[in-house]
Amino acid sequence: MSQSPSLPSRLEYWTFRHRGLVLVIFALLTLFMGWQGAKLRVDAGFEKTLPLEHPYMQTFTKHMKEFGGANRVLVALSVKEGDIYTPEFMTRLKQVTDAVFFVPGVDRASVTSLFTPNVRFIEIVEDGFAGGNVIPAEFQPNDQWLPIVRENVLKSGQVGRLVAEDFTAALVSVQLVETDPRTGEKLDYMQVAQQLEDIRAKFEDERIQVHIIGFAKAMGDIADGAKSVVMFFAIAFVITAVLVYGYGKSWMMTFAMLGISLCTVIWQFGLLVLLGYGIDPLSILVPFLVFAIAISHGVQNIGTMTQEISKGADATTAARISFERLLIPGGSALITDALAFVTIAIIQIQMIQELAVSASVGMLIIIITHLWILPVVLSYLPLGDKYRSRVEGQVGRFDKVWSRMAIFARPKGAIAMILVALVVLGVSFYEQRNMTVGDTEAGVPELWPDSRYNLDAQLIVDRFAIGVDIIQVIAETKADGCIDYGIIKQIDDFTWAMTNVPGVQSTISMATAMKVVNTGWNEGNLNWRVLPRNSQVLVRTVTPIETSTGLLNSNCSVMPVVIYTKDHKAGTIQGIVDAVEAYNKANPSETVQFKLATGNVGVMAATNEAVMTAEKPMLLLVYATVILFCALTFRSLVGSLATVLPLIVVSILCNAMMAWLGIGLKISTLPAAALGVGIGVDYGLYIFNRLQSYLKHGLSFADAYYRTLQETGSSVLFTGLTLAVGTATWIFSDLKFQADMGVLLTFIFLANMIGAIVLLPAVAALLYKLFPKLFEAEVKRASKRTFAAH
Amino acid sequence: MIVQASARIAAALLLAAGLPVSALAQTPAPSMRPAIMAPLASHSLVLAATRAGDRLVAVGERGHILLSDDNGTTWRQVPSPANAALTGVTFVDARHGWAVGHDAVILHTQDGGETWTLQHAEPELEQPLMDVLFTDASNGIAVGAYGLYLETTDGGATWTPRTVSEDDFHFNAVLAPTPETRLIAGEAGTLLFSADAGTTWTALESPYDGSFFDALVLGPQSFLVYGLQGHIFRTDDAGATWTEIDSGGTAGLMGGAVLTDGGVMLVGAQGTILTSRDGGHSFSATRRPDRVGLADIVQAANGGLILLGEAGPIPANP
Repeated sequence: MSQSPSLPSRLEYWTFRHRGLVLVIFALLTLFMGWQGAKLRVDAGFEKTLPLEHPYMQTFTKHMKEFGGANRVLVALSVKEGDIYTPEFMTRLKQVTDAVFFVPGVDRASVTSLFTPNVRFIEIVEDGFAGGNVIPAEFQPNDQWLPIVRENVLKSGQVGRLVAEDFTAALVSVQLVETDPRTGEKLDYMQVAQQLEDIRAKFEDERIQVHIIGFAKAMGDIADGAKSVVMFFAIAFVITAVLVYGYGKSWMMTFAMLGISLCTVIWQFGLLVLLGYGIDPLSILVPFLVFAIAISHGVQNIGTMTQEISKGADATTAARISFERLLIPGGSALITDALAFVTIAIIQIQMIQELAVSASVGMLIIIITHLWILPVVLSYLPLGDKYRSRVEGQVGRFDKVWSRMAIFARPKGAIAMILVALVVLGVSFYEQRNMTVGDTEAGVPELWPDSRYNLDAQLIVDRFAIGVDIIQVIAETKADGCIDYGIIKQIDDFTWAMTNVPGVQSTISMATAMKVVNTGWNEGNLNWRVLPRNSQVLVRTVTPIETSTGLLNSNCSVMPVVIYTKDHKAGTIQGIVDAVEAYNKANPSETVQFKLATGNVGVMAATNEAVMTAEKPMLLLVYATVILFCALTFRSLVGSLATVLPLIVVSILCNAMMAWLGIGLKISTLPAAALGVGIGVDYGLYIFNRLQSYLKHGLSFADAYYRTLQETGSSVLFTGLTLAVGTATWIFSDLKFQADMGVLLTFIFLANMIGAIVLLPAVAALLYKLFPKLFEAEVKRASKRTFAAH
Repeated sequence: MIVQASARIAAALLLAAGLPVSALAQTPAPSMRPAIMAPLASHSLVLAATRAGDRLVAVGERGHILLSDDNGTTWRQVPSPANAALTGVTFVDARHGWAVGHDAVILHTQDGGETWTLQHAEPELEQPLMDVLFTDASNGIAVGAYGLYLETTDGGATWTPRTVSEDDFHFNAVLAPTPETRLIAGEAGTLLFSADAGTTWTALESPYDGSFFDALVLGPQSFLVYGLQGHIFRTDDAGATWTEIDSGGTAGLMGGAVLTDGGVMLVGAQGTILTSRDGGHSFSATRRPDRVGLADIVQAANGGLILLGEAGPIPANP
C-alpha cells in the first residue's frame, strides 16, 4: 500500500537475496526461544482469576486479611460402613489434620478439624456454661474417650459443619495464602495439589476414603487433564500432516510447513517465558489455537506454491510469488487477529488479559514464521518437473464444484443465500437468550460430572449442611456495632431475609451466633434465642465469640453474613445477588452497609458480572477492528461488510450453540468466541483479496468469484476441514471444558469456512447489485492502487 | 465459618473489657414492627403451640404465627403486628386466643388466629413474657422474666402488673390445675402456688435450686415440673412433697404434653423426647437423630403429635 516498488516486493527482493542468512538467523532465534520455552511452567493463580476492578472485589480485597479469601481447601474423610467414632477413624483424622498443616500455602491458624484447639463446645450447667475442646488434649482413641467425643461433638454444634449430618464423615478445612507473607513468594498450586493427592494416597484405604476439594485441587486436576492436550496435539498433528499431503501432494512441503508451525509454537512458549507468564491450565488451548491459525496460513502458502508450479514456475519463483501475494492479506488478517485478541483484555481479569496478550503475540509470530520464513524454506525445496506433473491435473479438480458455487455470486443465488443466513441469524438470536453467564452445572464444570473431584464435591454437599459454595456479605458499621441493638438487629433481619432467598442452603452471622450464646446464658432455654435489647447484656453475648470464628473483626465494626448456597450455577448466584441489592434498596440504613461480596460464590458473582458487562463491548470492538482493517486492506466498504457480516452471523450462532449445549460464558470459554472470529477473518481476507484482484482486471463479479474459488477456495475449504478435524478429537478429552471447546471450535471453524465461501460473496454480490455506482468506484480505486504500485 | 462459643468469659474481645456502655452512642432501636412474612417461617424456631378447635396455632421467633388446618401437615404464616419472638400461646375456645413474647408483647385474636391485634407491649422494660394462661375469655395471667406478672379481668383490654414474689427470678410457666388453683414454675427452683385463682400467691418449698422451664398438670393435686439438666420432679399433693424422676440424661427439658390416651411426653434440648406410659411416674428417653432442639410438643385433633423447636413444627415419628 505504498509507493513503487511496493513494500511486499521490496521485502521479497531483500529476503530472497539473503535467504540463507535469514534462515540461519531464524534457526538461531528458534533455538533461543526453545531454550527459554523449556522453562515454561504450568502456573495457576487464584488471584489472577479475580476481576479486581469490580466493586465486589474491592470489598473482597479490603476484608481478605481478616476474614480469609475464597481460597479454601476441604479434606473430608468418610467411612464406608458404620460411623466416625472408631479408634481407626479418629487416628486417621488426626494424621490427616497434621498432614494438611504442612501443605505449602496453608494458613496454619485457619486449619480447622475436630482435632484443632479452635473447635470447642459449650455446655449449659446450673451456674452458667462450661466448655472445652471437642477433642481434649489427653484424648486417646479408645472406648473410654470415644463416647465423650461423641457427646462433645453434639454439644459443639459442629454436626453438619465439621462432622457429617449422619456421622459418616468429618472435615478438615483450611485457607490457602497465595503469597507467602514473609518471603513474598508465590504459591505453586501444582505443588499444593500434588501434596494433597499424596495425602489422599497415604491415608485412603478400603474402609476410609479421602475426598479433597477446593480451588487448588481443581487446578491440579485440570492441569492433569490438560496434559492430554499434548496427546490431542499429536493426533491433530498427524491428521493435519495426512491432509496437507493430500492437498499439496508433497511430503517435503508438508513437513516444511508443519515444522515451521511447530517453530511458531516454540516461539510462543519462549515469548511467554520472556513476558514472565506461565501457562494457565484454563488457557492451555491458546498454543493449540496459535498452531491451528499457523496451519491455516501455511496452507495458503502451499496452495499458491502448487498452483504456480503447475503453471510452470520453479520452486523459488513460486515461493517468491506466494510471499508477495500473501503478505498483504495474510499480514492484515494476522494483525486483525492480534488486535481482536487484545480487545479481550478489556475484561479486568489478569488471567484473561494474559491470555489476550499471549494469543496476540502468537499472531505476530505467525507473521514472521508463515508469511516470511515459510516461503523462504519452501523456495529451497527441490520441486521440479516430477512434482509439476503430479499436481498439474490436481488444480482443476474442484472446478465443477466451484462453478456450481459461483451461483451465490449471482443475484438470485445471493438473495437465497442471504435469506437462509437471515433465518439462521433470527433463530440463533432467539435461542441465544438461553445462554448463561457463569457455570451451568454444580461442581467444577471444567471437569466431567463423574470425575473424582466432582464426585468428592457431591459427597461433601450431600453429607454436610455447609456445602462448599459460600458468598459472604460484609456488614460494615461503626466500632462496637455488635453491642448496639439497633445495628445487630439489622444484621439479624438481613440474615433472615437471605435465608429465605431461593438457592440459599443456610446462613450464619454474628447475630445468629449471639442468639445462640444468649440462649446459653439463659440456661439453654430456647425462649431466649433472641438478641437482647440491653447493651450490657449484648456485651455478654458477644464476649465468648472469638474473632477466629470469622464472624467479626477485632473491634466488631465488620461482621460478615455467611451464606451457604446450594450450588454456584449462574442463575443461583444472580438470584442471591439481586436479593441482596433489593434488600439494600428497600432497607436503606445509615448505620449498617451490607456489601457484596467475598467467598468463592462472591468471586463468581463478580466474575460473571465482569464477563457479562465486557462481552458486548468486546465483540463490538472485535468487529470494529475487523471492519477497520478490512477497510484499510481493501479500501472497500463492501469488502469490509462482506467480511464482517458472516462473522457476526457465526458468532451469534455460536452463542445459540452454547445455549443448546449448556455451556456457560465464563473466563475459560469467553476467548473461544473471540478466537473463532480470528479464524474467520483469515478466510474472509484471503477470499476478498483475490476477488478484488480479479474484479480490477475487469471480470464480472460472478466470474471473479469463480476464479477466486479456483485459486484460494480449496485452501480455505481445506483449512476449515483440517482445523475442524483437529479440534473435533478434543471431544474425547479428560476435561469437560476442553471437550466443550472442541465442539464449539469445530463448529466455529466449519461455520466460518462456509460463511466465507458462500455468504461473503452473496453479501458482496447483493451490495454491488444494489449500489452499482459503488461497484464502479471501488473497482476503479482498487485498479488505481495496483497500477500505482507497478 | 464455624461458630465456636467458648466459656472463657474474658476472651479476646476488647469491647467486653470494662466498656463504658452508657457512653456508647446508641442507634435508635427499631421500634415494634409487624412480623415479616417469610417463606421459611414454618421451618424456623417455634416455641409454643396449642389447639384452637381443630386448628393448630404455633408461635415462634420474629413474631411468626403459624396455622395448620390439617393436623400439622402443612402450615401457613399469618400476619402479626409485632416482630418480637413469641414464647406462649393459649386459646379458650376455637376463636379466642392470646400469644405472648419478648418486648412484653401480648397479642389477641378473635377469629381463631387469622388476625391479631396488639394488646400490650413494653420493649423498654426489657422483660420478656414467657407464658400466658386464660381460664375463660375474661380472666388471664401472663408471666415472664424477672418476676414479671400481668393480669387481666377484661379479656386483655387492660393488663395490670403485680409483684407476686420477693425474688426477681424468671417465671417460665403458669398453669391452672383446677378452676381455683394456679401454679407458676420458674428460674432457680421457683414454684409459686395460688389457691384462690391468683389473688394470693405463696412460695412452695422447692425440691431443686436449678431452673424449671415448664410444668404439666396430671391431676388436681398431681403436677410435673421439669427443666435444667433434665431434672423432673413430681408431686401428688399439690406441691407439699416432691419426688425426683430420672430422665435418663442431662439435656434440659423445655416442654411437654399430657396425651389423650393418658401418656405423658416431655421434650427438650438435643432432640430429647421422654415418653411415659404410666401416667408420668417413669420415662423412657429417645433422641432424634438430627438432635434438633425442641421447645414443646402438641397433640393435634386427630391424635397426631407435633414437635416444636429449631426446625419449626415437625411431626413426631411414633
